[in-house]
Amino acid sequence: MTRVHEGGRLFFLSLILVLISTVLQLNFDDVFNFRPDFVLVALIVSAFFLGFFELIFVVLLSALIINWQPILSYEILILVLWPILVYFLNRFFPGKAWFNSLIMIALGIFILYASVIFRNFLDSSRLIALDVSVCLVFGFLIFNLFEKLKTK
Amino acid sequence: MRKERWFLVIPIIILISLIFLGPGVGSWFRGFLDGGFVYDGPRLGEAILENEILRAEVYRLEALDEQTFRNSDSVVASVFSKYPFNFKNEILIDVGENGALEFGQPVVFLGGSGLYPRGLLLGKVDKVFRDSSLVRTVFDKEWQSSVRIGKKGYLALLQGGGEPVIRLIPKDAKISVGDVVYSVQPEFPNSLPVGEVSEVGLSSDQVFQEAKLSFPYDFSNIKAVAVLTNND
Repeated sequence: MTRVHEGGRLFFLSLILVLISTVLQLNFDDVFNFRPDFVLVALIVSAFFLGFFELIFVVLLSALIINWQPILSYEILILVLWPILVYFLNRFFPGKAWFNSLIMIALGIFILYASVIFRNFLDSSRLIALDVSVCLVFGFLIFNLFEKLKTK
Repeated sequence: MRKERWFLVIPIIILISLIFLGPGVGSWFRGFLDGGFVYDGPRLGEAILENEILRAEVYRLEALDEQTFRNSDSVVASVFSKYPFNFKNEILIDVGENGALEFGQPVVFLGGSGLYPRGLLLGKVDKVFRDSSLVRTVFDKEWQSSVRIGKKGYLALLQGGGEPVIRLIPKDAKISVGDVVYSVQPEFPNSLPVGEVSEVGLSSDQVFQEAKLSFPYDFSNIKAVAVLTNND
C-alpha cells in the first residue's frame, strides 16, 4: 500500500471514530449518568497518526458538531488546542507511542476539568477518576485500531 | 515524512467560518447523533397500551395547555442542544432576544403527568443570545433554590446534580414518598412544582433529613420547554 493510501485510510478512520465518539459521548449519560470525554480521546489519538491539515480538519469538525452554544467556550478551546499541541509535542516524547497517548489523554482530561471547574476540582475527584479510567480504555482501543490499519 | 494534504485548507477555512458564523449547522448535525432515547424493553402489548394512555394524556394536556397559557406570558421553545460534558447541566433553546427572553426567567417542562398543568420547574435562563438562550437546569451541580415539601410546606433547600437532593429538611418533619416539592424561590412564580419525594433519609451528620426527588419526565428526552416571561 502506498503512503498516500495509508494516510487516506487513517484520515477516514479518524473521521469515523470522531463521529462514533460523538454519538457515545452524547448518549452515554442516558445509561451511566456521566459523559466520558470520548471526542477529546479520539482527537488526541488522531494526533499521533494524522498529518497537520488532516488533524486540523478533524479537530474543527469536532468543535463544530459538539459546540452546544453559539459562542466559543473554554471546553471547546481545549478540545481544539490540546490535540494540536499533542501533534507538535509527540515527536519529543520518549518511550512507546501508545503509552504517550495515554499520558496525553489523562493530562488533557485533567486540564479540561481544571480549567472549567477549578474551584470544585477536588470535589469532583471521583468523577474525574471515572472519566479518566473509561477514557484510557477507550484511547487504548482506538490507538490499537489505528496501529492495525497503519501496518496493514 | 507525512505528505500534507494542502487541499484540506479550503474545507478548514469553511469549518472555521461555520464555527463562528453558522453554529446551527453543527446543531443540526448533532441532532442526528444525539438520540436521547433509551429503550427500556416493554413487551409489545404493554407498549401499545402505554401508547394509548399517553395519547389520551396528550389530548388532555393540549386542552389544559390552551386554558392555562391563553392568558399567561410564556414562550414555548424547542431544545436545540444539551451541554456535552460533565461539568454542567444546561440546554440551549431556540428562543433568545428575539423572543424577549431575559436572564433569570424560569423555564418549565410542560407535560409529564397531567397533575401539573402549570408545568414543572426545569431551570432558569442563564445566558441570552440573539436567537437562542442557555438554560441552567435543576440537574446542574451548582443549582440551589428554596423549596417547600408537601401539604405542611416544610422549608428546605433543593441541591441540583445528576440526582437532585432536598437538603436541610427539619429532622422532625413528617415527609412521605410522593409528597410534592415546589419552589418558593422569590424570583420564580410561587409554588411552582419541581418534582416528588422518592426517598427520605437522614443527612450524613444526622442533624437534618434529606430526600431524593423523582420527576415525571425523562430529561434526556425533553424536546420542548416553556419560558415564563411574566412571574406575577
